[in-house]
Amino acid sequence: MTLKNLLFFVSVIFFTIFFQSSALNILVIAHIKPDLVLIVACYIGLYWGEKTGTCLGFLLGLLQDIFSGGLLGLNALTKTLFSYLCGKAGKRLNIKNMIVQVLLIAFSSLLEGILFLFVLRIFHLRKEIHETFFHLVLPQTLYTMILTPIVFRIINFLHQKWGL
Amino acid sequence: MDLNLNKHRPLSLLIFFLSASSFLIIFQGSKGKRCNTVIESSMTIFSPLQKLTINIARGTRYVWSDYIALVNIRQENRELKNKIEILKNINNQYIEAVQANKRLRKLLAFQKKISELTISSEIIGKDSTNWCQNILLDKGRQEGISVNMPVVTYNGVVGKIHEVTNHTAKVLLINDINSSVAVLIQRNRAEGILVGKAKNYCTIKYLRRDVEVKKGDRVITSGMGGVFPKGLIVGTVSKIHKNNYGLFQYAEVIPEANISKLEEVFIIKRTPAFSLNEK
Repeated sequence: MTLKNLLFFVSVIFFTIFFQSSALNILVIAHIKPDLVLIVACYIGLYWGEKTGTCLGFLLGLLQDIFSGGLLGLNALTKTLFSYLCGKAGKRLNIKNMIVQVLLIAFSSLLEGILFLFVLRIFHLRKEIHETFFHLVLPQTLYTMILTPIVFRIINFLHQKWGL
Repeated sequence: MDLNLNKHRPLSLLIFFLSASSFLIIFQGSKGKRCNTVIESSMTIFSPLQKLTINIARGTRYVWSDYIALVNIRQENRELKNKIEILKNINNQYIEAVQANKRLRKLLAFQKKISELTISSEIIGKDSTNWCQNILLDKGRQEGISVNMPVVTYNGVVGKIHEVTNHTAKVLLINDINSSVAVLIQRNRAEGILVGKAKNYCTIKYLRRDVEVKKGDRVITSGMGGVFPKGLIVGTVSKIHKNNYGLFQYAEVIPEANISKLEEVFIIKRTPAFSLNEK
């Protein structure tokens, strides 16, 4: 990994976390906002491979945990996992196809939600599983899906401009 | 500079990071505490940028509301003047002025008391996930903020401080699923616990079944939890759930403070003897 690559990665991480914790709040609908961090983590896995995805997914997730009031490490765990899985899937799928991108994010977001519910249930932090699934996990998945093509295009554009 | 990731196998990297994440989760799960050093340093890096964005967003909004949106001001001004005349007449006929005066005196005393003990703070960020209801404030340990201090607006209770760094503080909002506040129904002094629902309303649990609770009843803090001083306005009852069985009834409460549109809050520097002696 070159210094130029590293600078690009740091910038992507920095702006993703900044947007997720501040600027993205203007897009909140009915207390739900899209998970930009998941989209970026999956993008990294898909386009830059599972090794980079695993490392940056962990970093992104950890930072998201820091700016959240929940369990520290939970987002780090899911983002690492889905970035890795997307890296694996990226070798077998046509990742430039928008439908593939959106479906991968939808699948990741849904699984992440179920994993969250499972862990939070273990720690007795959330009891209303059914309600949370339909009022939080599903709307968040939908919202994240809608944002996916836009975010993918923006990062692709920046990646090309950066000359990588 | 060459950071070589190639010498590691993807699966071993995955196992390493998953183990690290699991360790963090289990560590806090058992200790009930988050790792402060990592959190503090990250927040120190991001908080100035968050503050800047919030200020830019507010500036844009003010420009819009103060200049661009004032195109129809003349018409609106005429309508407002008419309204003022009507309100003046109503006001003159108001026979309960003495009672209102008493109430206002009480409120004034409360505000004076509050202003001596509070620190105003701006909101610079919100929770990065949909799973928790938190806000990030621009004041921290250096400004005398500590964990469990109540956070309010002039309208009502907002939440309590649950994490502090040197220059920022995280507030657990009252509508968070993990928040609980000891409350009273102001009219009949019925006690209960207000819990968050991660929505725009909260629920009062453990309200005795035999107590009559009405829609529109005002809910205030009872001071029993040891965090919030007694007598702070929390919200208004909007719905009552009373089953044919069980010992308790439940009430839905709309918080008085507009939690989704907060810009500035007050942190109460609590003293143990703090009480408003609300009746």
